[in-house]
Amino acid sequence: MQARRQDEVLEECLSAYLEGRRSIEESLSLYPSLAGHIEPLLRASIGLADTLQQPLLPFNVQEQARDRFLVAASSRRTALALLRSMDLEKRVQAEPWRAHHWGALVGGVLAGFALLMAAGTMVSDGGSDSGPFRVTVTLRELRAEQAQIRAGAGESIPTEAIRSLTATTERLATQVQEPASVPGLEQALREQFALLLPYAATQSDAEEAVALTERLATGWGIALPFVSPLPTPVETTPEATPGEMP
Amino acid sequence: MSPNADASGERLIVDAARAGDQAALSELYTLYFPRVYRYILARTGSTYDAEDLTEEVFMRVLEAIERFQWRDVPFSAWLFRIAHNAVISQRRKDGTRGRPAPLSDGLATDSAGPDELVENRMALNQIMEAAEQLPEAQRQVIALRFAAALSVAETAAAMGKGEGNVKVIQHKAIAKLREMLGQPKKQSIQRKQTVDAGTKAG
Repeated sequence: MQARRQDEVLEECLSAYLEGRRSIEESLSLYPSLAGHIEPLLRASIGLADTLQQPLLPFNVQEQARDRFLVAASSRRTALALLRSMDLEKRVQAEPWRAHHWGALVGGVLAGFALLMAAGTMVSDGGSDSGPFRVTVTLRELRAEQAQIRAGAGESIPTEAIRSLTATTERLATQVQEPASVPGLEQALREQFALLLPYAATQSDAEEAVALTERLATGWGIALPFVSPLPTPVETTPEATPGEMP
Repeated sequence: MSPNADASGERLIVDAARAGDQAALSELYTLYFPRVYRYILARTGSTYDAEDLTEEVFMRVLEAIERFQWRDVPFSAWLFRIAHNAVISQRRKDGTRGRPAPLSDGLATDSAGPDELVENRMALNQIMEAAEQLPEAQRQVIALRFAAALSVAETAAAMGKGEGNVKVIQHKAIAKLREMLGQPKKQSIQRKQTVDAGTKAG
């Protein structure tokens, strides 16, 4: 309890100083019973912040980098707009009836009918066609493949196993719409990264699978664990909790 | 603690950037580039890597920003997850290439004189060497809180942890760093306080 209070007070005093609300002395006077413990840590924290916030890139380097970023943004936007317009054109060419209002109306009625039929099918077979269900099934497949690789892990992973894992991962990538709403997705991706990373240096297929996992994690806003790249298979990276901290 | 204290203002900028607005993208870049650079520098210890990776992070942001959703995490947390993954990716490549280069001469600082520049660089090197000895979670909290200047809430969101947990980790990390570095920079703090007092008086 006392330790928890010290954590809170240290953070409170640190924020107050960094935001210019109070001096160190003013903060310490608010917590006289903890001042002896907090003061040296507070001074150390401020020293850390002072030092770590010093480095800057030279102004011209930063400006050049910004120019490259904005050029890339502009090119990307133009390319996307072009792709979208080409896609739209293709659709109209392939389905000219869509260009007409009547066609759209008929299309809407047919789509509604198809939806009703699909709903009926889903009810009858337990919802096997629904998106979330498909994601769950694929995720389960992925976890099974990971477990298989983990169980048989030695000096290398069989190429077939990595290929299959990569294919399942790619399939999952096409199915996931809202990563935050898929239970177990983050853990699966983190564990996959930890599982494959030790082999990435020696197996090119593992390297590609790791790169794919990284790309997906970045796209889905998932933070990957730090894992030693040494060739020793690692199952998971433990989360830090207050009880576990040294 | 964040320089972007106006959250609704940032929301407007991020939403405009998501829609491809060049001015908004430029503003986000200005707002976050120095912080991402410092975070990566604190994690890798190499100015070359920090320069390259910071650019790479912003290219990744460009590719992913359309998919960013406010309901998951704050923008800063999302951005620093990308930076974190870029550092991991770099570390993986370094695993086959060896240790990164130390802090180089390409480093500029806010300080005016060469003496202070050297002193700062030495302090930075010492902190980075000491931080290498910390557990991963502690290193990450130090980099996010002190180099990237994220708040505890933002740090917690970036790391996927609770705020209480981050405060515990921060406390332990500071205590350990202080122990490893000895009595830190008291003169520097006193000097800063003198300057602050002078500024206030003036």
